[in-house]
Amino acid sequence: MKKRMGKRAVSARKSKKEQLSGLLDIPLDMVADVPHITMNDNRELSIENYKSIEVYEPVRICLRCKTYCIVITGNRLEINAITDEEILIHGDINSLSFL
Amino acid sequence: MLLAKLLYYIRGYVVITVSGRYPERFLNVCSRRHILVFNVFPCSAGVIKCCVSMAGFKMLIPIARKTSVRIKLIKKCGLPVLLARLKKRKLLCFGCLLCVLCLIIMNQFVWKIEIVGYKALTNRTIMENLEECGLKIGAFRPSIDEKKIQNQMLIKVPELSWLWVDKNGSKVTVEVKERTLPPVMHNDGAYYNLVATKDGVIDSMVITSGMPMVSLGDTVRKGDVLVSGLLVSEKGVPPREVHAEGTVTARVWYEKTKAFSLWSPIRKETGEQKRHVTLFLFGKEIKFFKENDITFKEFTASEHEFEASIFGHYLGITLHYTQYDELETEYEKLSVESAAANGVLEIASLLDEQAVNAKLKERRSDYSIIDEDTIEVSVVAEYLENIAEQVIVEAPAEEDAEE
Repeated sequence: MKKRMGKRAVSARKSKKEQLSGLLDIPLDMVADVPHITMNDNRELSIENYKSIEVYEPVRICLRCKTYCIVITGNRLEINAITDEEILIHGDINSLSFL
Repeated sequence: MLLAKLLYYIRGYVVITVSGRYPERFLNVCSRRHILVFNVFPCSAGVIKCCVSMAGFKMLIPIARKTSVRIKLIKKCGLPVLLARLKKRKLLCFGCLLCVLCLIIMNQFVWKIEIVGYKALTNRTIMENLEECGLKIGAFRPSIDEKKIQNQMLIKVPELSWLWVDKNGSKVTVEVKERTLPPVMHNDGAYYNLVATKDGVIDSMVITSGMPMVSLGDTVRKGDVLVSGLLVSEKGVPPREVHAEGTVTARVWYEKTKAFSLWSPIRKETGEQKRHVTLFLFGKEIKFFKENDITFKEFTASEHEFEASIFGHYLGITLHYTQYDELETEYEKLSVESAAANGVLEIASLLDEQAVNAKLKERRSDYSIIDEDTIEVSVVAEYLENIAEQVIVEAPAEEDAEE
């Protein structure tokens, strides 16, 4: 009985949109409002569906998304273009973490 | 990215610095209000430098107040700024416009004609005929009818079998192909003999028409009849004239002796150079140098040419320059053997030039020392060469009179 409850609890964490994307085999970013991250080498990073910029320093950029923060660390980080949906970052990217 | 930058440039943008406690907030508000912000990078703590579109810049003041930041304009960039500057300099704009207009008008005329593909004909002959057909320097380009010129030229110049006129801006390229003309016909009664052009020993004969007068191994002298075009029968049949044809290959000897110095010249560039620049401007030649101002004793000359063109269209402006590099000669004494080897090579190349369409069979060389600085090299080369040449034998005038 306990085991069944546990499974229900895990499945409940997934939103209905996420369940639908899994069922229909559609990319998650198309149905759910999750960040879509594209990275070319360690020099160019594009993030779609972000909410706002929390911190902007030459060595660290912190972006707020719907459920978590994305922290980018590196050197000479530069925001090449910024719109309400997408942000394009250039520089020597060392790490990418989700907090 | 290039397209985006081009778009920013066309729309115009400003470079600003944003300083305050939280410049990130300023960026967030800008993005939410759809203001184009790009090339953002932090200068120091609390100061960022960024580019904002011209249209967006006007909307920044309320955002700056709201986010408690100070905005400082550094510079304005882009096409609108450039146009605003040019508005004040009307004469310059007018000059540029006039220059472009002049270039467009002058581009409507032919300023260069290039002829390629001719061998027997001369450039001048073709140019003269082209002029008569309406294609000349200064001709109005849209009035040139390529097909008409092609047809007229093929009728006017019978030596041409094909002609193509290609217009490329102010340059017209005329490509020609020459016709192989038929042999000249002779009167009845005339016939051809094959006659030796050089002294030699007959090596092989391939006769397709005519009666051989020599056999293999015979020594012949220049002017001897090798194959007769007059066929005479012993059975009383009247003689018949034919055009003697065939190949008579003989062993021919060439000999040359020449004196060579042991001091071989070595030419080196001194680094001194001069340029003669000529500008061909719409068919006119403008020289930027004085004639006969090259004072170098020895030099090499190389020619260079640059044609002004836009998208492959010739604009009628050509820059041509000849570069003269001064040389100095130093002499180095060679050993007798190496000087003799050089001499043999030089004489052999001279003999090869003499013996056209001949195959080298054997070459012997010898040298003798004349004095301590000079040697004499002699080369004897044996070639296999076709020595037969068709010579016309006209019908006797007396027979014509009798007829």
